[in-house]
Amino acid sequence: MAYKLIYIDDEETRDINSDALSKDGHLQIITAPPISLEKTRDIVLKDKGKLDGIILDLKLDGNKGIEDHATYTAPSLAQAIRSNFTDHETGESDEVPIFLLTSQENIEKYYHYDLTSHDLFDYIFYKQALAKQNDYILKICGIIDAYKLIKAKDYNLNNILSIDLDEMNQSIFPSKFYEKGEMSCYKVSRYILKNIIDKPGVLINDNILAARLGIDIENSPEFEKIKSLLNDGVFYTGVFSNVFSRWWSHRLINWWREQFPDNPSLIRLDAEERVGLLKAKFGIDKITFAKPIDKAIGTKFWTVCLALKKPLDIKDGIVLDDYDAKLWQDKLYVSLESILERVPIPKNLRIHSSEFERIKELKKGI
Amino acid sequence: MAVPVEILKKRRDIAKDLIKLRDMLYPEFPTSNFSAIETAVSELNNNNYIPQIEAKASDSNRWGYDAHELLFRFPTSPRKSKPYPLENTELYLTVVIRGNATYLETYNDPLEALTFDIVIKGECNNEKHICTYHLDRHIYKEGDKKPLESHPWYHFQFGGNKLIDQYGDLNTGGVLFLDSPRIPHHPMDLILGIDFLLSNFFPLSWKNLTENKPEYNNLIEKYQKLILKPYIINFASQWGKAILNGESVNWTPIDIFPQFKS
Repeated sequence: MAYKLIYIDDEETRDINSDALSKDGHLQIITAPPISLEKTRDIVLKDKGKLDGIILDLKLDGNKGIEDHATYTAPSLAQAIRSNFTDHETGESDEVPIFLLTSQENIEKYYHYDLTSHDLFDYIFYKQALAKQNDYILKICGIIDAYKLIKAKDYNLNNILSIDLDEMNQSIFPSKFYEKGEMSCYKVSRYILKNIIDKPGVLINDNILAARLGIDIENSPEFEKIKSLLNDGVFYTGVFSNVFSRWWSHRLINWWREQFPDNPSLIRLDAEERVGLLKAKFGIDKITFAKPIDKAIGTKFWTVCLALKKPLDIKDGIVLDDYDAKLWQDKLYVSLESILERVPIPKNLRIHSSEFERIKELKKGI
Repeated sequence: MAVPVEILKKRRDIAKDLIKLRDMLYPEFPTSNFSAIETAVSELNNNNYIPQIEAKASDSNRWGYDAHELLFRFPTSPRKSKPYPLENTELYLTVVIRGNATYLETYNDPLEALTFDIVIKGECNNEKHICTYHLDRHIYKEGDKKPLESHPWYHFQFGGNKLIDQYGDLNTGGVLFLDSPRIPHHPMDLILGIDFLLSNFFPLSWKNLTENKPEYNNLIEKYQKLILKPYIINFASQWGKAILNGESVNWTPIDIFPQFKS
């Protein structure tokens, strides 16, 4: 059954956008132009029990000519909607995710500097990408599913992530996440997506998994076979796992220990040794050990260059400054090569100022 | 006297590394207190500050910091102890370190002075218990009489003055405290010292960091090269000076291991 969403946009193109998102039948979207804040909020919330999600355009105040036109932008509307999800008498909540669908230019112009409203939306999608290959429908469905799962698991973090968090020996959630009355699907879903799924740390993605196993993905047709060996336990099966493929980093280390008890731990081996052990033990031939990115030397890969997505030994890495980083997350790195080639990195990241001098020295050495 | 630019650069590099270490420790020990690292960092970064050594002339080439009483709380009672089990167990680490920055990355003694105190406190049946270790760099002052006991320049000692003097009113039961043997040991700065503590007292955190955080391992390797390597090379030069690569150094194997005869 298709998920039902409402999409508010002041531009005529809203129906074309909505068609692009509903083409494969997973989403059923009704569209509406924005009018005054209160009235638009009421239109959105009219069917709140039957609604699965809300899509808002960022700039809603374009229809100046019409009566009762909107004079606000999406963050104000999102705020108004969010504070009315909960029935104040019964305490029942009909929370659904709110997505932002906007043009790249607008987000840079209006949204970039307003960090406080960054956390109002479950995900941001770009209109320009709608016509191209994208995974927007999958992500929208994934986030809607996450809300349903979080509710079904009654906000229990262990059940939501499908792990006993004590296993990790460090706390990755703020304390208030353990007070059920304080929590909402939005807070839990947004925190997990932003801090646990999107950033390497307790979970790692396929590229980092390959780097830690020393594998060059492009030249390893049997990487899939290696992954299937890890399916039991190391593969992440909690919320969002149907959209994002992730692996528990601590369990990978434990798995390696169990498989190769007579060898040094994974982190101490170079890529060739790691792949050699995998080949010998599991009889998997079509995997190749990764080699360093140009101008890098180390082969004890533990992360990837964020720009090139290729294995990187942290000794060669240039650390990035990530404003929102939590201490328990892995640091993010790029390679010197990616800097020289000006390969772009996400806009919210910068090269850490403590690396400026080192980069100068490294450039001199080339 | 201002700090020379190249010395300040080395000091700032050490400060940066201390911050890296602190950031990796906090998630492991959320209830502990590492604010002493902040003091050490600001001392290292302060170009108007030259660390001093008692009875020694000021030297602008000197690096050093004072990190008093970093607090590590034991998450559970230590596995083996007498009495057992211990409650509210806390470990305090104090490192006061001085060295000549021009000697870093040479085979000279990397340090001029070191105080490295570990104090562990715990409670059992409402009684307080304490245990201390220390690692010192022995400083001979002019006119000092050489002590009769063996005093390797760097020695690790259980108990020592802290236990006998400072906590002199302890009820020691049937246990005897002596001026216990000074065991030759390589020098440790805050970074190597914390690695030493984790490996001995907090094995779970040590495992997590060494198996999961390459940044941690790189940091330890770097300071092993700076502080441990010159000690080991000097030690080994007892059996052949070739290992020194012709470098003349300011210490001898006997200084660090008095059991050597010549």
